[in-house]
Amino acid sequence: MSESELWGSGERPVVPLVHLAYDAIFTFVPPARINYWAGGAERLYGWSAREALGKDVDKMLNSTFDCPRAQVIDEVIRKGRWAGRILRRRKDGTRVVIDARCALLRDADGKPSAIAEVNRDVTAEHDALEREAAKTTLLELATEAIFTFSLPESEITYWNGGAARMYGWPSEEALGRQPYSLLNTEHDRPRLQIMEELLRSGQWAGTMVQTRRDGTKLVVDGRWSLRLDESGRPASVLEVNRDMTKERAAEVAKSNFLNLVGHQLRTPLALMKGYVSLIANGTYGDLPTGFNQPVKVVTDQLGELERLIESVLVISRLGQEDFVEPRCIDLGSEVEAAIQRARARSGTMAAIAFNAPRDAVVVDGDSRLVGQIMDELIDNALGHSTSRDPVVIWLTGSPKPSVYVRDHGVGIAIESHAYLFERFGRRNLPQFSTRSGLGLGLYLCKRLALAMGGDVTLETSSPGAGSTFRFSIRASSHRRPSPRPTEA
Amino acid sequence: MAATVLVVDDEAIVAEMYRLALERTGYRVLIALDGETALETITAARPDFIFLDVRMPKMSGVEVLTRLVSDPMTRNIPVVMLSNYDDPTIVRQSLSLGAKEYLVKAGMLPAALPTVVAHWLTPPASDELLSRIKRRTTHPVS
Repeated sequence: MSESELWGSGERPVVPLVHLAYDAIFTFVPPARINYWAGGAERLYGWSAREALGKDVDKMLNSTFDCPRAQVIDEVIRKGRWAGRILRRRKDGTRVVIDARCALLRDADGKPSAIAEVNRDVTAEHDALEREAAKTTLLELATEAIFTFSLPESEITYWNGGAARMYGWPSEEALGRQPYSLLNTEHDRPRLQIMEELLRSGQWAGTMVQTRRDGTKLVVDGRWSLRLDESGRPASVLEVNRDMTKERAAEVAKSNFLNLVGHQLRTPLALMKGYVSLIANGTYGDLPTGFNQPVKVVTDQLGELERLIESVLVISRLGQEDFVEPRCIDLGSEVEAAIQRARARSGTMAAIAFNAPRDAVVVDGDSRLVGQIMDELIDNALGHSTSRDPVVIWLTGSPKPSVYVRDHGVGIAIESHAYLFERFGRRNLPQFSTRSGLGLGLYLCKRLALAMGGDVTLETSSPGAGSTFRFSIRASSHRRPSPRPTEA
Repeated sequence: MAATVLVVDDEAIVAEMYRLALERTGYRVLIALDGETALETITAARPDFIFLDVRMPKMSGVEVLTRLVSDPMTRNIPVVMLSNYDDPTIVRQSLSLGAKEYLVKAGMLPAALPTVVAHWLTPPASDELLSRIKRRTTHPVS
């Protein structure tokens, strides 16, 4: 039987209403020749009826089926209909995902005349489902523990594969349990305080100690995000935890090693400094004239060595719980003391101009750390100044207590600003390669300031015009500084 | 009569360095190389002032300090800790026990020690000086 005998006349159905349908409706004579193309098909695919009629629909729309087209036609003939998913391209080349339904049409003699196809664009729904599926897969692949718990019941509602691997609790045993009791979570502050922050800001991040199913402890860095329901009430918390146990142990080991080395190095340093100073001050008799310069060189280099060792010790202590001992301090007094120390170190009256407001600027800070920051900033300014103009230091109390230190040095090219506060950042600052030191100073300044809730920033700098650094720190709610511990 | 200063340090070469500096300014100096010897020396010689190291064999400086402050005969002797170990816990413990100060050896030149002694034996005289010296217990970063 020939194709035309099988499919009859192939006349187009005359059904005007189909033009009004939102779905794309067309008919074709197998294998794919279009013989009817309704308005919905024009809107969906961008091809007009004039362009489409007589074309191979699958070639025109670049159709991709889950099964061969011949199999679809066979099923339509056998069962009278077929439904399935087809991927196609519009006239403009864009991709469209189609839910297709096909039905067999017969002529007046009951002979198959054509196949009608009704297409619905489901691209958005399909892609959304694909994204959801991808997210679910990613969540299961993640090495972090990811779970959600409901509020206010605090019951686990989702538990990914990472959580199962990290804690040893499979999803089916974790769901419905309370995360705090399941993981025996310990925070460094009251849980109520954390929940208050979460409700206030919508998120929380911090370190926790938790317990696996086998009883072993682990240190995790956690991030929480609050989810609200449609009426804006807290509905659940999304928690993402990363196991940092090994990293923290390595950090502690490194800090302990640096601390040990730093302390051990202090002993020979103290002896060398001490005996050289005794030689220099004549304890062993008058120094021959030619010895003065070498003794000065040794003294200066021992000073550099001391600064390096102290930097190592500070690095080893960063992050320790008791590293910062904040009190109410008078920032102006701290700056004045640092200026005095700088003048003592330089051996002459170093050119430093200082301006401060009449009223004391009282801040919450650790006097020792503030002193270290100021020592470094002033030494940095004195070391880089290339003119006789004084290093200018000024203090402001508002809007945030700040100390500005301005030098008259060579300045810093803008492309180097990003490296200034990095550890050993001087490697990336070729204009300073001739200066001694490792480039730890500004890195430590910033870390110390951040540890006190402040910051050290480069305010202005350009080649030839010098630089201005700013040290900002938290204002105190008290008007007067508290007495020093040893004075209490 | 010159005041007597006891230097307690398990490193003889360090103690000798401090002795030289203190004697040069007129102090009489005694040396003890461990904690037990320090206690015996204190009982026998009643020094006016003590520089006390922390990490020592037989008995640590903190143990020595604890003994001193618990004995009415020795609790009023000014003690300044002088160590290269300035772990915050030990510093706080020493100061709360009654040490006058906690100084770091690496930050102190021997010539500064007589000033420290002078301050604590004549407290009102040199507050400003003391505050300058105290700043040397910490160091500028490089």
